[in-house]
Amino acid sequence: MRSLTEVFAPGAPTLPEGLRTLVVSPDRELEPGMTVRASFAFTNQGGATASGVRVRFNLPDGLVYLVGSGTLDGADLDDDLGNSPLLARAGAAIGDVPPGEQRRIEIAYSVAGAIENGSTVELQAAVASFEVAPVGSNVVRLIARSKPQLDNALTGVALEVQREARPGGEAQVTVRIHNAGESSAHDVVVIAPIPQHTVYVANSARMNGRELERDLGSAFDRIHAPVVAPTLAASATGTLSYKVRIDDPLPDGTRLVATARVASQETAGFDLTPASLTVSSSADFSDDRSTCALEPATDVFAGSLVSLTLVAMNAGSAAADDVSVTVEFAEGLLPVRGSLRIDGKPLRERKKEATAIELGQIGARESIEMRIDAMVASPIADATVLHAVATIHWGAKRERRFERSVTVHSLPAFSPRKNILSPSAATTVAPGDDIEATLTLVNDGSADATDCVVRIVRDSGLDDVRIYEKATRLQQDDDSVSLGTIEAFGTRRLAIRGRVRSPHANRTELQIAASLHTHELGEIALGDVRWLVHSQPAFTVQNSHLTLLDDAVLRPNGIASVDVVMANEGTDIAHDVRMRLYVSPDARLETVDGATRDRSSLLFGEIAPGARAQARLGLRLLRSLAKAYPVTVDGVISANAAEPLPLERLTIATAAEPDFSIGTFRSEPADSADAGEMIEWALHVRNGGDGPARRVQIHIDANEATIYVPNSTTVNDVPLRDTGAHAPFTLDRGITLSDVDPGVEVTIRWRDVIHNGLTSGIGITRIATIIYDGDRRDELFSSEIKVRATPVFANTIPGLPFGVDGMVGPSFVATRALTESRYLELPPATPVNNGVGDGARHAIGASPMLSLNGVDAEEVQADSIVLQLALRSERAERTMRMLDELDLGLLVGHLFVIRALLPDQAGDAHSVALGAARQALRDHLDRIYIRLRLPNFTMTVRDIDSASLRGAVERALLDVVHARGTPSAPHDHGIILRTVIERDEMKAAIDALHEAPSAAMWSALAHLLPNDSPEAANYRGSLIAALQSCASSDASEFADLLVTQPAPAASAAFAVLRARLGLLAAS
Amino acid sequence: MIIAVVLVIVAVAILLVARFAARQKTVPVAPPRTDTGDGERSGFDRDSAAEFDRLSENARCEMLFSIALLDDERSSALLEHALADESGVVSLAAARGLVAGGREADVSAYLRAHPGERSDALAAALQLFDIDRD
Repeated sequence: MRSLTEVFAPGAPTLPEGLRTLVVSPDRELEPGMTVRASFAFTNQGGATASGVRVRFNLPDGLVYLVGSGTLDGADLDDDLGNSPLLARAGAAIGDVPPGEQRRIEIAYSVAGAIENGSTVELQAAVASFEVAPVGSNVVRLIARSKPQLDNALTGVALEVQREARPGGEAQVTVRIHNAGESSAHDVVVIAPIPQHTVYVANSARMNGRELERDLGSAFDRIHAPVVAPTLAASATGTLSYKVRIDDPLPDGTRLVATARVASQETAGFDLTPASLTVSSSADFSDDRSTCALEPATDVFAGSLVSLTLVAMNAGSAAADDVSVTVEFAEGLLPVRGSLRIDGKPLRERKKEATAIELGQIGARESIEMRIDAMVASPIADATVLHAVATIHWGAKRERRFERSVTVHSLPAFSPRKNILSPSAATTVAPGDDIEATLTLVNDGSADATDCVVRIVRDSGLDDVRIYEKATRLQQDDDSVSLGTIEAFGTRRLAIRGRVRSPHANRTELQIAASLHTHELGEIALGDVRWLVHSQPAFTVQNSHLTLLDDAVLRPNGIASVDVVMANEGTDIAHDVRMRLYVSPDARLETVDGATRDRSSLLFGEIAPGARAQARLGLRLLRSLAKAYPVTVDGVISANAAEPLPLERLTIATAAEPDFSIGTFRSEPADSADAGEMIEWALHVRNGGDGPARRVQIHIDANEATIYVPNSTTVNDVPLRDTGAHAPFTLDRGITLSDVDPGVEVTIRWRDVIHNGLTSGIGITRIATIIYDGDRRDELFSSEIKVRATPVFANTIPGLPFGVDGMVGPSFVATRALTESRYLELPPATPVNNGVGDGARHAIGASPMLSLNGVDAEEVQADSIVLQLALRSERAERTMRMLDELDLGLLVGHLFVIRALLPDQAGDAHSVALGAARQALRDHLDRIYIRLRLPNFTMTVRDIDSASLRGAVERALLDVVHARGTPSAPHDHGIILRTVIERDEMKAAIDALHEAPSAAMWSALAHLLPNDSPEAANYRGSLIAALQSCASSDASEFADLLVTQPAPAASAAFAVLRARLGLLAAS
Repeated sequence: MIIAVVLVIVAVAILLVARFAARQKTVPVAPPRTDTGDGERSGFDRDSAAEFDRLSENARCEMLFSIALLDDERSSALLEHALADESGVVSLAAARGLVAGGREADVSAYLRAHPGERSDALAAALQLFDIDRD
């Protein structure tokens, strides 16, 4: 048994209907808001008072107690704080109900505002007392009639973003469905399409915060009209939301509209008021995808190409209109015309690049690459920071500025091509010359060169090296010059001048090297310049000369001291300095002091530049000569690498004077003589001078005290014919002698008879007057002879068979010789080879040597010249061989015979000139010998006639002309060949030299060939004739004739001579 | 028969030619030159020698005559070089130049070092040049 408290408990079954007294109005249907009145009446049908009666109504859902509506039998039941005791768990105590009494209890309900349509509301009342268990009333069932209402103010759609509607951002669409009706709405359908320009965010649909797609089983945006809520209770609100992503990009101001339509099973679909949202978007170049770069960023040098690359990336959500870029380069960056590229494509080249580059529109997420090149200007200081500014302009005064910079490395540079050290003039110099080199410094780098110092390295052979810039001499510090700063692209030219040290060796190089030191580059070699020194020794006649030491006239046999001075005025050491002396044949080099003598050359060795060498020569005048022939000394200086220098001829005046002042004039008898006695006079005069007398007149006056013995005059024992009845010396011209050489003695003898009529005591003195050389006059006095006379009275002469009236006179049948000492010993004037005469006789006469035909010296006339060729055995053998090899078919072959048989001695003195002529002949004929063996040889004038040969021949011939005496024969065995030639013949040959030079010269030489045998004389004559036949030819014709013209007569004569020579050689 | 005779004659002719061709007289040839290196030192080098050798025989002789009296190393070197010239005449001119310059010893040494007909002829010619010597 349930108590009243326990009845009407939620979930408890209803009480059994015991009383059917419950009346409810309305009784069938009720609607929200309606008042439902219930009346319950009961009667104590029993018996007893029901004490402690309690009444209770249930309060079903959907009904609400209408306060103050409870009444008991019409009387209000007091509510307790708004709660009716009828609805309390213990019910309302209405006291005791006596039996049979009825009680009516009323109560009113108000239908709740929301009650599900069709829901049942059951009302029941119950009564209990202490004695009676709870008794239920009938159960009144009321059907609720209600409907939902979705279309109300609270139902709507909203489109919201968290901050700002931007492209790419998320927006949330919220559809709020409010059931403003009394009942639930079922199968609420929301058609909420994804707004245009948005994209549904997957799985973002929520219904009242709960994922929806799981229930839907599909993506929200794929279902047109999803049921978002199976039931939406009255007054309930359902919220459907989903997220969308706003399209990006999206033009600014795009309006997003969210629409929705709601329907349910109870409610026809209706559209909600759309919600909208305006998208805010813009172009944007601010993020890091818009870049600007300078390339290269490092290692940028002057002149480098720098590329500015600008990437304009529109990272915004809207296209950028009217985009332009301005580029500003710093002063050191020079835009390269035509280098502008947009997206790699070149723009049209314009004369003037626009500072603003129009790029047009750049869509969102699009980019444009612009590239422009700039050249780093030069010059530019090192570490210069160059800026480049690129600014992107778009829209209305929107811009982004990029500033980039590069650090430029800039250095000076001195390229070897331009920075050179070059000679300003010729590179061949001589000591003492000035040299100049130009040093060009060109800083073709891009930066200034600072602390520039030029250093010069020079050879020690250069003096006084100076450095000039323009006309200003620079301050030098040990061959270094500080130039300070050389600006970029600046040029400095320095002139380096110096002087070649003198002396200096030949063929050496002088060098100047230069280097430049700069603070930036350190040491830079600038090359070098070389000069080749042409240095040579030199001698000039001004300072090299032959000097006669004293002014004394050189006399024969005297020694002249000659100083030889050689000054090397050149610039190099003169090596192997020698002087070749050509001393005229009349003198001989006797002594050399200060130099080494090598034959006719003086060797001085080396003479340093500027130095002098000195030697002293002693020249002895060898032989007598006329005044007109001074001794000449020619010297030719030669040295290695130096030009031969003929010195000025030294002419030594010679004084060669004849002197006849000393002589003897003697008589025999000497002191006294009887009258009528014959006196033999001897006048001895001697050329005691040192020169020949061309013409000597000896005049002796006639003396009346004596009578000349006709034809008694002899000169050197040679009878001299009288002139009429007079002695030759008594004439006015006297005895005229010519060419009386020094030392020659002249003895004039004659005989006189003392006049018989002289009285005793008379002295006889004769005077000899010697006039010579025109102006010299000497007189010799004879000793006085005293005449003795005695009286004679007889007239008979013993021995005569008859008497003679007269006196016996002296007998002249036999001459009386003078004393043995016929000659007065005089001091020799010239060296006299006393053995010549004897030797000659010995050689010619009794000599064991061979001779073709001995020429007796005693046979030689005074006007003859004797020449000699002595061929010793080996020389004779070589000469024979040479003669055998000659091809004498042509005239030229006979020239070799002339050379082979040319005498080497003329007269009694050794002939230097003949030796020189022999050497000259050798030089020429050796060459002819060789040339004749060459193919196509043509004889030329110079082969047979040259100045040297001519000079040597002329000197030799002159020597021969002046030769005296007879050559001495050598002591050893050999062939002696001699030539005897008239002096006049020789002179004529010399005179002919000047008329027909070439042929005459060889003809004159042919005159010297031996003629001491018939064979030799024949050949000599034939050859002379052959050569003289060419006398009318000029030199070149003569040269041709030599090799074309045969000489048969000469050749035949030579064959005979050769045979004779062969016999001699064999013997 | 005739053909056989002709063949025999031809064969004999060939044999004779071969026999005598092999016995031709040998011609004196110039001895090989030796380069001591002095040429470079004196300025007379291989190029100078080659240039000299290219001259004609006449020109070589004339050059030797013209330098014979020069007393310098280059001229001496050229004379030494020409001693071995292929032309006997040129060689003779060189020898004469050396002798004239007082270098008989060098010529003699050369002749001793290169014995043969050529040297004998050269020596004989030099003796003829020196007939004046006692």
